[in-house]
Amino acid sequence: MLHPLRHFEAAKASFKSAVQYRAGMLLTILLSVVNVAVMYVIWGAVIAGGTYGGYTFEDMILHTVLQLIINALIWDDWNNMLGNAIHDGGLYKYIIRPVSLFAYAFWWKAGSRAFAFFVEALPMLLIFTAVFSPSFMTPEQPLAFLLALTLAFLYYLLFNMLIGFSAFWMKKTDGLEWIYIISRNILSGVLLPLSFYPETVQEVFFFLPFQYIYYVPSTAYIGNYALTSWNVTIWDSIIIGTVGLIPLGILTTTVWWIGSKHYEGVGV
Amino acid sequence: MNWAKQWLHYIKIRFMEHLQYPGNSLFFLIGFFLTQFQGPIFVLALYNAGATIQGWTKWEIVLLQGLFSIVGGTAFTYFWGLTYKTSTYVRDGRLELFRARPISTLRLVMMHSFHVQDYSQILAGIVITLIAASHLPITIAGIIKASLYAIPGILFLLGLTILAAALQVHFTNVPRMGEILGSLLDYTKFPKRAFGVAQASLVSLSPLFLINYYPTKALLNEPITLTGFTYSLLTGTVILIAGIIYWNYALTTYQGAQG
Repeated sequence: MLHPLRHFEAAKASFKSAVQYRAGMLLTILLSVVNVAVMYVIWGAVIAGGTYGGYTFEDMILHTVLQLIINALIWDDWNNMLGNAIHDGGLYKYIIRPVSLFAYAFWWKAGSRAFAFFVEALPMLLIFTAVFSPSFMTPEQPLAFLLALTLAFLYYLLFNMLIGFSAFWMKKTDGLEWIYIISRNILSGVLLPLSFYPETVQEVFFFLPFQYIYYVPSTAYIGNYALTSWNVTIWDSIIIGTVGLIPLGILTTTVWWIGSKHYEGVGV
Repeated sequence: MNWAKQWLHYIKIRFMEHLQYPGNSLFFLIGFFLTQFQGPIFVLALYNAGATIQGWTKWEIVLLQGLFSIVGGTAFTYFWGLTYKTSTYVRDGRLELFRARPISTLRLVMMHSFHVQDYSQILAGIVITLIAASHLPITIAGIIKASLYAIPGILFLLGLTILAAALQVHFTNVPRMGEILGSLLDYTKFPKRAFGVAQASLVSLSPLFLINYYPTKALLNEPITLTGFTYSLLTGTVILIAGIIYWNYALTTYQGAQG
């Protein structure tokens, strides 16, 4: 019988692996400070004193910091890990393990992000709180944020796995990955909160799954979720996002099933 | 074979290499092209929401960003990868082999830093500039002036990347240098005025605005303050000269233990 805690071993291993890259993670904080400084100056010039797209200057700085914190908590490299494994035959090391690839990827990511929470996200939050003294949250905001963050974690993972699986059919996948990253930056609200765009564009964004990666968790934390004039609340959005995970999960599993069926692992 | 021939030969090889992966290369070209539109999308959405940058219309800022894509794209295509390539070669010892060759090491690594995909950045820059220019009063004289003003910007970027590459040699890899430089370049995507009074004094000393600010002013046929431009030009020149001197010094300290 397989050990019930076998999945947790993947999380433990990735936590240990992440510890080895702690210097890189700490450097991320330094880079984040530079990024926030740039955005502080730009937003100071553009919206100081006013409210645009539902955002004040303080909200915009918080939005910028939250992008960095959310990224630290949901980032993974499964697109590259799978792409490389498919090309060099290393995919078999995932296939022969006594856990499903999806469960393994989930727990591996959970372990490394747990470490990132302490080394990247928490220091960034503390620095931000010390410098900007943000206003207090309502009790429902942290709960909405945690749920939205969980959704973001899963959406990010499934999309990355889909990109990684494209290696079944393509010799190199970094070009496709680049297009995905750019699209995600625009459609998920990294470039600019989605409420800044014209109403028609917001309606298109609403039906795309990308808002759940950054925009929904970020606005859940700030407490100013707004997309289209349809009066959709953050809770409606979290429910829709949860339901939306089902087709994405089915798509990713199907692509994996089709790809792995004809996979020969030449080069093992 | 002179260096221009060598360079062209290397560019040809890189093109042939990319032709081996047509699908991936096409995705890269589309991706790099789209990347350049992030800035204009940002500005147009901002202005759509009612925000403005005092004294600048949205099309003037889009023009500024289009010119950044052209000038930056030229640098990114031909030499910006110098920092990354140097970092790789320093760590795997190949720099030691390059030093043994009868050709300038800097030129050789620069040749290796050629990046085909960034041609689409230049192309995107031209498209963005044309779109913005269609909403602005642009003259032939302005285009000629802007082209001349863009040259110091390219040379400054060359100096900056040589300086960063020299740091890689001296300290045997400074991690994430590319990202730090990238954050620095973000300042050039908005007009000087965006940075307020406190920053403006620093910015006027900075050569960053050689990249696209002065070319944009020239293209718009707007007056350029001689003092501001001279400061930028001087600091830009100092960075270029310091970069070359530091590179040559750093090479003398490199030991290439794995070479």
